[in-house]
Amino acid sequence: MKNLFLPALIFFLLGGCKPEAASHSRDLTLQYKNAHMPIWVRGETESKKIVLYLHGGPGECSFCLRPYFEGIEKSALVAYWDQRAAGSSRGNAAPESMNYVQYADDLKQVLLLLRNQYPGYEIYLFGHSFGVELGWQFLTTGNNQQLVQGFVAMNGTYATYPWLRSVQNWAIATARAKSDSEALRFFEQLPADSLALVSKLSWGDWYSRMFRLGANPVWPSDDASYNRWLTWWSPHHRLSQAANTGRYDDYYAREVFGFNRAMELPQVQIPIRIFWGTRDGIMPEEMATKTQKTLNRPVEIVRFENSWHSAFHTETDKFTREMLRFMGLPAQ
Amino acid sequence: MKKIIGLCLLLLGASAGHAQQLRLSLRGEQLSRPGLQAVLELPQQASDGAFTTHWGPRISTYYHPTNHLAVMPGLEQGLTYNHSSGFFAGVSLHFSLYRSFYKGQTYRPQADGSFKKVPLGGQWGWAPGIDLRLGYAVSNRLHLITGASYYQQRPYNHSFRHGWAVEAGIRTSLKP
Repeated sequence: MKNLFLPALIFFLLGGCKPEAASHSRDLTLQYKNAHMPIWVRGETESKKIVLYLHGGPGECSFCLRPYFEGIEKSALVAYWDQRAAGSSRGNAAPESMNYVQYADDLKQVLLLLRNQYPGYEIYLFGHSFGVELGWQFLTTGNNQQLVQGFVAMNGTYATYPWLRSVQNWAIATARAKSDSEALRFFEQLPADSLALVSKLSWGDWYSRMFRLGANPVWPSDDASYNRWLTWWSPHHRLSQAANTGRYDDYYAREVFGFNRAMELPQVQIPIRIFWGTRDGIMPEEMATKTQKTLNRPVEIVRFENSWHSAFHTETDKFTREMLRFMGLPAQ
Repeated sequence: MKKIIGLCLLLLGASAGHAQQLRLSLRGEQLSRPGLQAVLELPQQASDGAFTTHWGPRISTYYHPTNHLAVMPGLEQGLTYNHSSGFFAGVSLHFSLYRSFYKGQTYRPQADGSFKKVPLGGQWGWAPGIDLRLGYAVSNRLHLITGASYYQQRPYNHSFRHGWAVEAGIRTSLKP
């Protein structure tokens, strides 16, 4: 026991002090409208390009998924931003500030800060799931699109109702294929009218059946080594995330149903690429083509045939290659 | 806020002269984030029974790498059960000021579109909590202790954040 004490003490004292591999490492915090939002910038500066990661949720985290972006970090900078009351974000942001207009306003300030700190750099947005909604809200507001070089949208929507319908279609087809009569009955009985759907919709019932049907059977947290990294080496704050996750009741009860940027989408003229995990049931592939049609111009869809909701997790190498290709950087 | 810090420091200084026991421990915030804790235990009444009570000032810190450093000065009220074998168990309720210092630079946007650097950027708050301890009296002057602590950081995005830590250290008499 005595022999173990000293190594254990040294390990404890050095806990979290593991040197980072990235050649450029910078920690910023943006204080804006009662939110204290961390931004971790990591990677290589030579290309003078930054990928700003718009994480999902709302209420998820950015830096917590860093292991899947380290390939990009070898060629460019990646800015990991935790949105207000999400991930490790601190301060005292009110639940009523968790709306699309405020999220887009926050994103604008994050971009302005990055441009201020990294003058002359090209900034690309990468949105995942809710981060895509945030991206479309931002890009279809004012002249915001001038602040970025391009946008990659992965498994996310431009409007709530088309998304709900696409999930309903996917769930009905999957329930039939899997002979899940209870799930089939649940999704078939949902009202066709959008307003009636809102009044009937219970998110818990919705998601439990979706996951039972295999909407997204894989998560990074299934991997023990990922969990070890998150606990011991990541600056991400897990208890903060746990506290923040409960702040979204108002968003799910009201705000989400007002989201619709379909009319404004054709205004977006910057380079766009759509990434899609084709097995996804949370955001079915039907939404990829709907997004393409709504943009009303030729936009490439990159399909990840072996992925569900988060292709950066399940097909990391291909994701890295495609991100670098979009940014005009050579593959490693 | 400066007045509150001043008051805490004053209490700490004034109580040091009457301190009977000093508790010093290594603290592991969420097990993995290193920190330190110091508590001055002031006995509240002479007792020859198994139970003793104390109050006193305390300060806890922890470092969350590339995230923040936190400092929590405050007061605690404690109860200890002392067994004749030398083992003892204690519980303390505490109430502290919470101040974090964010790693890196903190910026705030200005009306003219520029960004102002915020010196010592971080967050103020309160941290009420409870500690549980087990210990063993190696001698009259030296006690080994280990324990766990739970607290809440308030306010935190219009709610609170749970915090927990483990500790291991010593308790020593300051006076013969």
